[in-house]
Amino acid sequence: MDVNLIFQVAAIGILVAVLNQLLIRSGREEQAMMTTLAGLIVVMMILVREISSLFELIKRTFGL
Amino acid sequence: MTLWMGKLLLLSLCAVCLLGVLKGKTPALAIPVSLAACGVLLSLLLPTLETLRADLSGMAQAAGMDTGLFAPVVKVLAITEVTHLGAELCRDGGEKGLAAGLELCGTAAALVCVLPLAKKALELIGAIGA
Repeated sequence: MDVNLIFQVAAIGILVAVLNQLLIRSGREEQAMMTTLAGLIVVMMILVREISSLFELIKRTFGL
Repeated sequence: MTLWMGKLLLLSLCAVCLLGVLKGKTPALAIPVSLAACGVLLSLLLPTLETLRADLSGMAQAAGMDTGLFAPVVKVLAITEVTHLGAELCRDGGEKGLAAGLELCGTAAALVCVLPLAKKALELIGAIGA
């Protein structure tokens, strides 16, 4: 798990927030919600992979 | 070690600043950032924990203790920390019920890990008493 992970996830979050605001202000609330959901799914996919590798590393480190 | 702690502190503060921006606009994505920050902190902590584990194993062997007895202790510590982190993340997201459920699961998992030690202790007591 690299330090850049925090900034990657935060960058995706900020991008999604900006797009969300743009879409809401142009009257497209459903598309804004879908953008938020898509961003959330992308972030969760990245995180699940990284957390799985973290748990593997913990198991290897402690011999569990 | 002080520099390492300083690095972790700066990393945590960066994550808090980013979370401050995200919580106002997209609260749903603030929790994954918080989770990513916790994961990165844990991964940076692992080499230090490995050094600590090796040193404690060496001391236990030098004292003539069975190092196999420490495995349940390490498992329970890991379960406790994962449960604590997960519960606090749930509370950050406003889900106290979910946090309580996770804590209950963590308690049950820790009890299951400790059972072999408890059985061994009871056998020892039985052998002494017999």
